[in-house]
Amino acid sequence: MEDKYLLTEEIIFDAKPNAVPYNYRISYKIAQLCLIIDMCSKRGGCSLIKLHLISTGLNTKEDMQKLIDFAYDQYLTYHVVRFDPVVNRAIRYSLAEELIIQQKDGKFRLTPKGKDFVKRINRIGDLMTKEKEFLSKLSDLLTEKKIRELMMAWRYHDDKN
Amino acid sequence: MIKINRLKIEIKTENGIYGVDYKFNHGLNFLASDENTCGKSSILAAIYYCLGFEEIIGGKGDKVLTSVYKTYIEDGEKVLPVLESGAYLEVFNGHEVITIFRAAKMENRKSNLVTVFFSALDDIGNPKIKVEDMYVHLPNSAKNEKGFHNFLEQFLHMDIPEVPSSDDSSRKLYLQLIFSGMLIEQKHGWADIFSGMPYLGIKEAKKRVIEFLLKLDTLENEKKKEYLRNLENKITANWENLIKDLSREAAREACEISGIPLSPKILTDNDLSRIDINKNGIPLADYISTLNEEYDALKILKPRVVDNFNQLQEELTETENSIRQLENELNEHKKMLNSEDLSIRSLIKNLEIINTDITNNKDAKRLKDLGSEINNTTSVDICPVCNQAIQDTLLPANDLQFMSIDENIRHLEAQKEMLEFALSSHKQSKSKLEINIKEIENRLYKLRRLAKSLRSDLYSTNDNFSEATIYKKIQLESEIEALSSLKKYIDTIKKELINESINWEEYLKEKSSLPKNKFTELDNEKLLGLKEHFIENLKRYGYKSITNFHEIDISKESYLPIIEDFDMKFDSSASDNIRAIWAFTVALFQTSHEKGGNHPGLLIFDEPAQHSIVTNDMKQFFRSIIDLGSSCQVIVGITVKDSETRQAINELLRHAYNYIEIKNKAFQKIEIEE
Repeated sequence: MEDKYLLTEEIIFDAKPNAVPYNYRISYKIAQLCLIIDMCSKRGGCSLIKLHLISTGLNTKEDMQKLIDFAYDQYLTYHVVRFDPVVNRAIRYSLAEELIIQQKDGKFRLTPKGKDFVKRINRIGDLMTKEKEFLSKLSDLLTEKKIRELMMAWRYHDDKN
Repeated sequence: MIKINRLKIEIKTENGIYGVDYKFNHGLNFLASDENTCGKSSILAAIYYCLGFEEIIGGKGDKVLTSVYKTYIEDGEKVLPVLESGAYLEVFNGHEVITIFRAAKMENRKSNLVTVFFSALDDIGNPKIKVEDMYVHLPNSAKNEKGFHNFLEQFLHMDIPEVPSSDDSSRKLYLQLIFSGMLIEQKHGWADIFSGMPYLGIKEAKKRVIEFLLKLDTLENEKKKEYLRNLENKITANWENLIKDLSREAAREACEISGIPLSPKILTDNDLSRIDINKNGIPLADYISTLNEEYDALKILKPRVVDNFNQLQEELTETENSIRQLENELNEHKKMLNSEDLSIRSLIKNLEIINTDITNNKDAKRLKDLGSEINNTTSVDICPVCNQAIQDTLLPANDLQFMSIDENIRHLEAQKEMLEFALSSHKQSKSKLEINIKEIENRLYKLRRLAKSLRSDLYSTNDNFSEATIYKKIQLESEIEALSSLKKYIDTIKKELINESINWEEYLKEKSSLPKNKFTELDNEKLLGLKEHFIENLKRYGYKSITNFHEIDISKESYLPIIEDFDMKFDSSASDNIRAIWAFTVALFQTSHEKGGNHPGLLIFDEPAQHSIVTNDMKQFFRSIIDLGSSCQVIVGITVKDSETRQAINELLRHAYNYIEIKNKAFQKIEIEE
């Protein structure tokens, strides 16, 4: 088999390490999730879909505006929700690190360790400024109720298809 | 030299004044107490504080002082609140005496204010005594006239050099840095040689301090080198400016320059004559004389249209051809300019993206550090579930290798550099294009005017004066004028270049006169002396971490002791590290004293008996201090809690030292207020 490759001895190909976008870093994403739970949900916790929605909203300026509009009732529909497997992985890491816990109703809540982490992040003024600004604007206006309505709308759409 | 005559601390309470009043002699002074907690360090801190050196203890202002100065003082059972407090320090420089007062707690008086009385402490009540207020720890207080350290420097006759600082300018070597090698404080002072040195933005501060204390010539050399570096930069900048001006002026008249030296050099006549200015490939002087000839020829030409009809026709066709050609060229250039603009815009956008990427990646790195503060195992690339190594990514890993955050940041920064380079080169070619376009438009304008004149000549009545001829005349005249002034300008630039060339020659001469070797004979002698004293002291103090003392050397790079090119600290046991600090601090004085250095002759050791030093070694240490003689004042804060230490002191010759005993509490009532 190997005879087919005539130049195997002369050319050595080393794979160089790949660059990773910052928001695909474990540390970054779990910090983001903790911030979302801390700043955008009331005592009841934060659902998985909400984490996905806001996490997507943090990707670009356009996404942010769209989500804000939806939360402020300026658009009644929010068409595409992107479920990023990366978020799920980050949630799993956060659970394992005991930064968040999952309640019986499936929603997520910060542990004391997670709250400590958020406090440390907030103490550094110029850290994750973009996130902090957006999340404080969004606050808890994106309610679980609104998300349920959105999901209902999908069912309706699917029904039609 | 500096000698501390007397220290008086006053703490005013409702129950009268408490405090201490001690006199210090030449040579060895003990400040001794039975227990370690009765205020020796508070007293020594007052010396640092009065001299404005409290950063050696750590911190600025009254923060370094203990609560005795600021909140309350205990007297037996009573706890008295402190109303006001401050310290007087009488200092002698060999000729004059001054008394320094600095308040620790006083309403309406800032702690960075220092009052200097030009007399002994006993006389400060005399109204004829000159008094002056000065400041410490203000910006420029080392240089400012009202700066206390500036005053102290003059008072102690220390000619403190300017040294390179970390922001690439030069700054005065701070007194605090110099004294941190002589005043060994109890808490940080015993960690390492110079470990009490505050960070004040001086490059290689330890090295500079040793150079200063030993008065090494290298310091002079460094200074001279710094000066020459500045000179070189100045000449180069001037030179480049001249060349730039010249090129700009030449470009305006569409001339090319050749043979011009772009960086400074010594110009010979040949170099000067090689500087050549051409217009359209013809030397400028020749070009001007051709223009003059043309101009003269026009004068001969009959001014009337009827006489030159054929010639006019030919000229018009020719002019129109040139116009077309130039228009094409202009179009090409504009197209290129457009594409440059496009690439610049996209590059700027990319740069923005990369910049946010870099900040975000830096955030990720800081988050990772935060994570490890709260013990996230993912922050050290370990899976929290199975404790195996993982890669820092949320992407499905497979077999791919991912960059670490640091690598990622470096990677992005490299990209950024590349983009910036591309951007600058695009901008450069853009400005070049713009200049070209302007020039072409200029020429086009002239040609169109000419064509218009020619046309109107062709259609005008035969007897009219030829407009084209007149227009050409005017054109030629102005061109000749512009080119002649350019020629004159070139001559003045040439003169200035010759001036700079003379400066350059001088610079090169000075540079070559710098000594080739870093150290002069005397420097080598001093460093050798330092080494010998250091080793001798080590032996005397019972240093045991190494058997072969020949291996110890003083580094020519850092002037600190090394063993086989490694910092000596790594090879020393804890108590031997203390011995090394004794030995080095004393050796610095010995060397400076013998070879004429700048050491001001004051040493303070607070609790030198760290890490269970054997009593005998301690005795040797005291003996060696007594051997230094009266040229050096040494103050030793010491706790005498066992008979051995007491005996070590008692075995010294009684008249050789001054023993100040602190009983019970250091701060006793000294006066009763009426």
